[in-house]
Amino acid sequence: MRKDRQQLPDVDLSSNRLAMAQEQAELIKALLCNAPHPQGFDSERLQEASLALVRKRIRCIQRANPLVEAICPADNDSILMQLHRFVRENPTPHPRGPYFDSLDFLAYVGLKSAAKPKIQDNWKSSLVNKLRSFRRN
Amino acid sequence: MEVAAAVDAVADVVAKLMNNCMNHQIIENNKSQAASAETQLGIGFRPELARFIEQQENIQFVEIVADDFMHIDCIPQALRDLQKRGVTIIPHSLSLSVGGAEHVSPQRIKHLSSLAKYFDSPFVSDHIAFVRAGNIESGHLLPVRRTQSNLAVVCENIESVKAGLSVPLVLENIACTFDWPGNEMDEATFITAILERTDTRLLLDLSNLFANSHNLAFSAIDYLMSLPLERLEYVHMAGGIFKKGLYHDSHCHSLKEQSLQLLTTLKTICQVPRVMLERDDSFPPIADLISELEAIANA
Repeated sequence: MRKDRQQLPDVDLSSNRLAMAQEQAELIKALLCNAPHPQGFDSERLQEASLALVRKRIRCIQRANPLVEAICPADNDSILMQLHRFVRENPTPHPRGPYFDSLDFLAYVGLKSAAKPKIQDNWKSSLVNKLRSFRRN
Repeated sequence: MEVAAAVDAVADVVAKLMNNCMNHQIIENNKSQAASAETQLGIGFRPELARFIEQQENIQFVEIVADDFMHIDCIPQALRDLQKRGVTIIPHSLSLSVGGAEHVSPQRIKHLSSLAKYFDSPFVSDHIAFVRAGNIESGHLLPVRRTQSNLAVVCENIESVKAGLSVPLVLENIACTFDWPGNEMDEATFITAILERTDTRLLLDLSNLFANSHNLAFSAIDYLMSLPLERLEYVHMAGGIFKKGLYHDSHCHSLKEQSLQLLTTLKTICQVPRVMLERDDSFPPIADLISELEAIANA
């Protein structure tokens, strides 16, 4: 074991984690949910970072679904504002990725997609993996 | 006399042969040293670039976004073909959140480990950042406040990741346009402490370094000089854009001269084992991609 690793104190870090969780939650809410900026930050910089993050998420949604891109031309301020609102109200992207995020957005603006994919059951995927691994062995 | 002369003649021939063999060995050793000192060239694998990557014979490694391949059966044939060709495949995660207050999810570690096993990868990588807090999964890499207290948590998280991996973990510096108040140390000191305490290696993103040095007004060269560069495993290079005086590491604009200059400087300071280009969107014409790869290779 390395010398500097031996110097690591074997302590309970739960209080460190609690303080860290609180400061990180405040920051993430300020950036993604329009919550008040935590004390001490450069407000202008946080505002700029927040806009950049929202734009990045919107771009992911647009790329994932041509229908969203089609109804969101760059000059359509109304739809773009709805996209901004959707992202602010749903700060966590869909866990299954940007395509599902785009379907949620279409539902948000009152459009339903006929092509909602059927989610493969986990047990099926697991069985396929096991069979493939068996074949490789 | 004749026998003695014959023995001498044979001895000469043997000596010459041995000499040739030794020279050959020295040449081979030099060759292999030169090859090992070579910087390998790579690129971030994206579906839009699959065909392009397939056509580039000088690409020696590709990095895949681990979060894009949540099931092994979703791995595209293009990647399997690259692997067959001998291209190294490096799983790169965006979601371990080793800089977060929560313990790292064992499922995420297991997934990264299974990708490394599948591709027989020499290592895996992620970022010194957090991506979730307050029940919000941000989908973005966010900076950690650089305090001794947070440093201890980050190191504990990294140790838990390492314990679940069968290959080394490599950690990357992130780009940011703002900084925390109340930092107790600068970024290079924080990263150095993490790498040394957890005995991990470095993925140095030079474009992120340029972004931060520009946005947060510090010297990129001082930063480079204070990193433990003997831990350098590979380098990321990506394009970005200036907006309202800030530099955004967008990964969808052209590579900037400032990032290339940092790569040139880095190569004068230390051996760079691998360097790669990242491009995520607004894909340029093939000629532009090739010239960016050449610029990286020749920096």
